Amino acid sequence: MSVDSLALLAILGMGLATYLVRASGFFLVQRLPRSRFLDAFLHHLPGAMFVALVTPPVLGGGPPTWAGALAVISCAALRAPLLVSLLAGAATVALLRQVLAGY
Amino acid sequence: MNIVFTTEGVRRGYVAALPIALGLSVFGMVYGLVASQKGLSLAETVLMSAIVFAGAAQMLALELWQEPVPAISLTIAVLIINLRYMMMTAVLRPWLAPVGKLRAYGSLFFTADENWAIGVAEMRRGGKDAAFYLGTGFALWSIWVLTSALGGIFGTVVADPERLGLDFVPLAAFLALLVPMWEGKARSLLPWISAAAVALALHALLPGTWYLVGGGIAGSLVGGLLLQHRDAT
Repeated sequence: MSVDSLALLAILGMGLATYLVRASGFFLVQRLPRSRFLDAFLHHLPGAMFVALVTPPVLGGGPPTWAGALAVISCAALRAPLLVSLLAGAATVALLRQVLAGY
Repeated sequence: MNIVFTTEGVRRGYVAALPIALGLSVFGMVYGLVASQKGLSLAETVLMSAIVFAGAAQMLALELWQEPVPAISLTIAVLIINLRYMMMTAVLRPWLAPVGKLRAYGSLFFTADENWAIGVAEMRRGGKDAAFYLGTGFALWSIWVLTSALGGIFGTVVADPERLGLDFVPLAAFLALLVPMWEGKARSLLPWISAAAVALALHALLPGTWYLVGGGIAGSLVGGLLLQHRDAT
């Protein structure tokens, strides 16, 4: 049950950063002049962020990862619960790693 | 609209969000498991869940976790991956502006994707009790902290998570959350392609998580410019 001091610093930093983001949206919306460009920018930010996050690891991942990604995207497109999508993806990856040794 | 803030509202919110919180418990356990595989102690694993309380960000932190712990990079990466909370909490203005600063900024800590969705739905239905939001958040927080601990404890006995495909789960979570954000070709195609292209280029060229910053900003800028183009035509 030990806590490394650098790890603690990282956790506190991440916690503070996350809280400030949570608080700032509410704080700013009460003060900022509304602009349609800003609204559109913020509207598109989550999707753009997630695309940026998944693209390099999926494309660089090899056949089991590609198949797993396809399984997750299919489940999510069919509006499956998050849990079902995650399990389908993990199962696909696990299965293909068995079949295609070396990945 | 008379907005109130009652303990009954907290209770109703907690009950409303509990099924979804329980649905995320496997996610919490996987986080705890991956954390223990990455060498985090149980105390560090649980502390991160209690203080950061953001599943996607914590998974990202584990992806980037190494010795010595890159505290500054992790803080910046988590800040960026959580930027969506900024516009999410902006939406809560009708509920939180009238209840006073302490209640508003206290409630805002308990903001995650799922409870925000439940809370906003209740608000848009005309719910008057803003404490409902705090209740939904506390439901997620309590289950998240509990299951992180369980995952951390059992993580040391699960020998080979890769054989079970568990290492794929964080990436799968981002994919599954991304799919419902698709708003059709006209709105989403160009922003997403721009984000992907810039992310791939920066991933190849620069270290760390700059590809997230660059890709996120590029996609959002294109989204904003598309709107201006639509306005002009």
